[in-house]
Formats: sequence, C-alpha cells, structure tokens
Amino acid sequence: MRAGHLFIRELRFRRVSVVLAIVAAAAVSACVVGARSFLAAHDAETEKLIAALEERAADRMAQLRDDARVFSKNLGFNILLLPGDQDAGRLYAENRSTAFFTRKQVQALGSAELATLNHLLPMLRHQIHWDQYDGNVILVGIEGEIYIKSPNFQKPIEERVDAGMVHIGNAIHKRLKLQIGAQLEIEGETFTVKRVLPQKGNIDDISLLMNLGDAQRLSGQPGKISGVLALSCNCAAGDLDPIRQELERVVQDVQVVEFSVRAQARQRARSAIGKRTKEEMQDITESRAILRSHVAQFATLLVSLVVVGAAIFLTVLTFASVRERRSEVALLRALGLGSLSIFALMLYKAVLTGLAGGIFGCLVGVLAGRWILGISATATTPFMLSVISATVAIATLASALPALMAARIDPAVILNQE
Amino acid sequence: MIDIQKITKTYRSETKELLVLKEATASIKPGTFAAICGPSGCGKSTLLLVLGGLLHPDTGRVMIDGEDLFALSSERRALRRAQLLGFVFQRFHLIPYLTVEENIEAAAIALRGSTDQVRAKELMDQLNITDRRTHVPGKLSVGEQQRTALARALYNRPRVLLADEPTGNLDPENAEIVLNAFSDFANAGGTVIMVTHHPEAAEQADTQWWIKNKTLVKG
Ligand SMILES: Nc1ncnc2c1ncn2[C@@H]1O[C@H](COP(=O)(O)OP(=O)(O)O)[C@@H](O)[C@H]1O
Ligand SMILES: [Mg+2]
Repeated sequence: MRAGHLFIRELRFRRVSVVLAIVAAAAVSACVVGARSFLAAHDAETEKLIAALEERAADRMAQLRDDARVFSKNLGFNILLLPGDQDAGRLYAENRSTAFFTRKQVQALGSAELATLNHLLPMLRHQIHWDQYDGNVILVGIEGEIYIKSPNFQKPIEERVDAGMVHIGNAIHKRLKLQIGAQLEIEGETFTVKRVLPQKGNIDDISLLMNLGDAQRLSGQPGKISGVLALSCNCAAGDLDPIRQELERVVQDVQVVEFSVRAQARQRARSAIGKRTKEEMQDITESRAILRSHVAQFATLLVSLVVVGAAIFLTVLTFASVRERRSEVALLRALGLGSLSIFALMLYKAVLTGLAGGIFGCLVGVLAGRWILGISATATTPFMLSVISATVAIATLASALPALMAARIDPAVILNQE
Repeated sequence: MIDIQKITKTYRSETKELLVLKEATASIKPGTFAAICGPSGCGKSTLLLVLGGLLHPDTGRVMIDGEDLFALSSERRALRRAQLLGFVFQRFHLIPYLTVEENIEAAAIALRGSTDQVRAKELMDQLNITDRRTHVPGKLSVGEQQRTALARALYNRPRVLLADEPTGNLDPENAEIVLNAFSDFANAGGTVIMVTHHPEAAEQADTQWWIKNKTLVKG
C-alpha cells in the first residue's frame, strides 16, 4: 500500500471534518471575491449615478438653451445698435433721433460675418402727432432684415412690410377699432392695415410698423436709418463686450444697448444651473468616494476577520485531527515512515482542502456576485488564481503547527500506553 | 541473531529520573520463540521498544544480524524496521478507516512496493479472517483485531517479531491462535521476542528471560 491510498481513505473517513475545513477555506476566498464584487458594484453604481446626473444636466441645459432661443425669439430683438453720437435723452423722452447710420455703415454690418449677432434689422423710429388717433404715435419703418453672413442665421424675426401697408400696435387697434384691411390716413397718405400686433405692454403698442421708405418720407427724413435692431447669439447674451469688440472692427462709434432683460435672466440661470450641476456632481463624487473608502475599510475588516477566524478554525480542526490520529501516527512510524512523511501527510491535507475550498469559494463568490449584485466578469482569472493560492497558503500555514506536532509525536510514548 | 548488549535506559523528566534498565544483556538465536517476563512496570515494554529501534537506550547496543541498529541514521533505522521487524501490540493499533485487508497491506507503506494481494490472502486464510476482508476494525471482535494485527506484522516476511503483551486482551482461544502462530514463525526460522507478565503465555515460548533488578536473567 502507498501513502496516497491511505491519504485518500483518511479523507473519506473524516469527511465531515474535511468538509468543514473546505467550507472554512471557501469562506476566505468567497469573502475576498465577494468583497471585490461588492466594491465593483459600488463603483459601477457611482458611475451610473454620475452618468445619469450628467445626462440630466445636459438635458436641462439643452432645454434651457431651447427655452432661451424661443424666449428671445418671442421677445424679438434684444440688442439695439445706435450711432455713437445719438442723444439718449432725446431718444427716450421724445422718441426722436438726433444721429443716423449711413447706408454704407449698414451694408458694412451686413457683410461683416458677425459671430455675436444673428439678425440685423435697420429701422427708422420717429414720433409724430397723429390726428386720427388724437395723440402721439411712433412710426417704425423697416425694410426687412439685411442678409447677415452668419452660421446661425435662421428665419427672419420680423417680416418685411410692403409700401402702403401698415402693422398697427395693439393700443391703436383698441382705440380706433381698426380691423385688418381697414384704411387709415397719416399725413395725408392712405395706408391699409395688414396686421394687428399683439399687446406688448410697451411703446410698441402705440407704434405703426411700415415700410422704411414710407416712414422716411412721412417723418421728413429721407434715406435716414436711426438704429439697427439685432439679436445677440446665445454665446454673447448677458455680456455686451464681445459684441462691442466685434463691431468696433466694422463700424466706428456704435452704441450697443441690450433691452431684453428676461432673456438675460434666462441666460444667467442657465450658466448658474451648469455651475450648480457641476458642484452637485462633485459633491456626489466626493461623498461616493468617502462611502467607498468606508465600504473598502469594512470589506478589509470583514476579510481580515474571516481570514483570522478561518485560520484559527483550521488550526483547531487540524489539532483535533492530529490528537485523534496519534495512535495511527505512532503505528505508521513503527511501520517505518519517517517524521517528514508524517508532516507531509498532514500538510497535503491542508493544501488539498485549501485548494478545494479556494476554488469552491471563488465559485460561490462569483455566482453570488452575479445573482445578488448583478455583477459579472469582475473576477478575472489572475485575480481568482491569486485568491486560490492565498487560500491554499492560509490553510497550509494554519495547519503547519499541528502538522509539526504530528511529526514530533514520539511513537515510543504512544505505543507504550496501556 | 539478536544481540542485546548492556542496554541501559533512564526516563528523564524535569523533576526526576527513573532508571528502568541497567546493562540488560541477552542473545537470541534465529528460530527461537523467546518470552521476556516480569511484573508490570519492570521495563518489558521499554526493552521491546529499544529492540524495535523506536526508543534510544542511554548506552548499549542492539545488534540484528550483526548490524548495530542505533549506529544507523534515523531514516535507515526506520527502513530496517520496515524490512526486518514486525510488531504486535496489546492494543493492536489498527488504522480505523482501512479494511482488514488494507490494514495488513499497510505494513508495506514505508517500502513503496506494490501491494501483494496473494500474500495478504494467504495470511488472512492462515489466521481465519478472510471473511472479514472488507470490514473495518470497528466491526471486528477483539480476537479478529489481534489476528489482523498479527497478519500485518507477518506481511513483509520479517526476520524478527516483537510482541508486547499480545494476548493481554484476548480470550484463551484467540491467545492460543496467536501463540501458535508465533511458534510456527519461530519453527520456520524466525525470531520471536514476546514480552508478557502472564506465566501461561510465557510457557509456550522456547526460552524465558526475566527482568530482575533492571537486568535480563535467563530463566
Ligand atoms: N515515556 C516514559 N516516561 C517516563 N517514564 C516511563 C515512560 N514509559 C514508561 N515509564 C516508566 O518506566 C517503567 C517501565 O515501564 P514499562 O517498560 O512500560 O514497563 P512494563 O511494560 O514492564 O509494564 C514504569 O515505571 C513506567 O512508569
Ligand atoms: Mg508494558
């Protein structure tokens, strides 16, 4: 008979203790693999959380950008370009212009490939007393937007008004009960109502929007352009300096006035939300990192406890087994086996149970990770191999002392016990 | 030929020393069934363990066919033990998870030879335990257990059988089977050294030795 045969017979005979040893070893490797899966799950969840947050933020920003676009579109132009020497006092108090753009200047604006302005509408504003209305109204002459070489150029905000036609402000419509198609007379000229403008709550409500040529003639200012309405691109909203800098290169001495406060507010909100989201993301990343380090600490503690517990258990188990096998060991010595063979016999058992337990535990750890945490492919082959080797090492070390004790059993003492 | 030359053995513990054997000397020829007698505690087992190379004497030599057992390295001595000696103990020392047949074959565990099933069968037939071949020791009667241990001792065809109170736990019938087997072994040219404090068992032997005053005296 070979020692191997004896070894296998012994394993089968003490299968309960062998199974217990395998379970203890399996606890070690399962715990390590499980802890790693758990951390991987935690990381994956953090990533998912951040990604979701990023996506939500991007959505919100896009929404706001759309909102801002719609808003500024609804509000119409938000920028007014005026000649540098325009007297603001007379403009606001009397709605009369004291300075004008030249045709050349306006053409230069149109062909300048501006990046900060999207729409340009040259106009003439002039206040007159209108007998039919029995009060002051504003004549606004426009010709339609000038073509602007801008990548952002879209549909015109304000359509052109043909000669002889007029769009009337809401207050005028209300007072004079003028409907579309009605005729009205200004300074002896007859105009047809083409549109009734919606109520705006500002001076637009007492304006008459007409063809630029008509307005110039009626106000006695032929060929004059008092200002250019513009829509700033989103990139420049809230900050007029880039617009000014760009215009400087095209026409000297332009005043840039922004008047659409709501669009401005929106724009500010948008950048605030962007900033807040970034902060929020950072907060979450930080708190998750702290949580992760706690989880990692806990996992380390748990793994250490399990390792120490399993090692103690395996040591005790092997000690008990050696005690039980003293007579057997003494006999094997009497039959001629050396103490080294006895040591090896005991240690092989530890290696084998460590190996079986290590493999079994890895399997349990991976399957548990897959079923409980929904994590797959976290345990790579090199990782599992190192876990299994570590388990074998732990089992072997735990059994080393009892195995040494077995090797040092004095057969003479055991065999002479009655 | 076994030469026991001036064996002295003292058991030492931290607190006291116990001199058990003092210059015990004897010579036992092949083909002899020798009994070593004496009251309990006189050192019979100690002497047997020394003869088996399992216990170092303080001084003295054990020569087996001219070879000094304690001059060998412990590995070689273990090998010699497996090759030359067979042991029978009062408490059998069977391996609990091996069958009768496997316990017998376990005698060759240190010799790394292939299992000789014919030899095992022959011994089981001779000792009337063939029908217990596949049973583990726990299922055997005391007599069957000692017969299994005896078969194990004989399995390697040793030159010397060392038996320590082999009939101590046996009924007369089984005791006789064992003692007859010893006689047969000696008649076939082997040497049997049996220690016992039972005079009836000693009577079956060819020669009797007594341990008196820690030394061997031929009776
Ligand atoms: N390992 C030991 N350590 C100390 N004393 C021992 C040891 N073995 C035996 N003795 C003592 O040595 C004496 C002889 O023992 P032993 O050889 O077993 O006697 P016997 O077999 O004749 O009954 C006894 O007094 C016993 O108590
Ligand atoms: Mg004794």
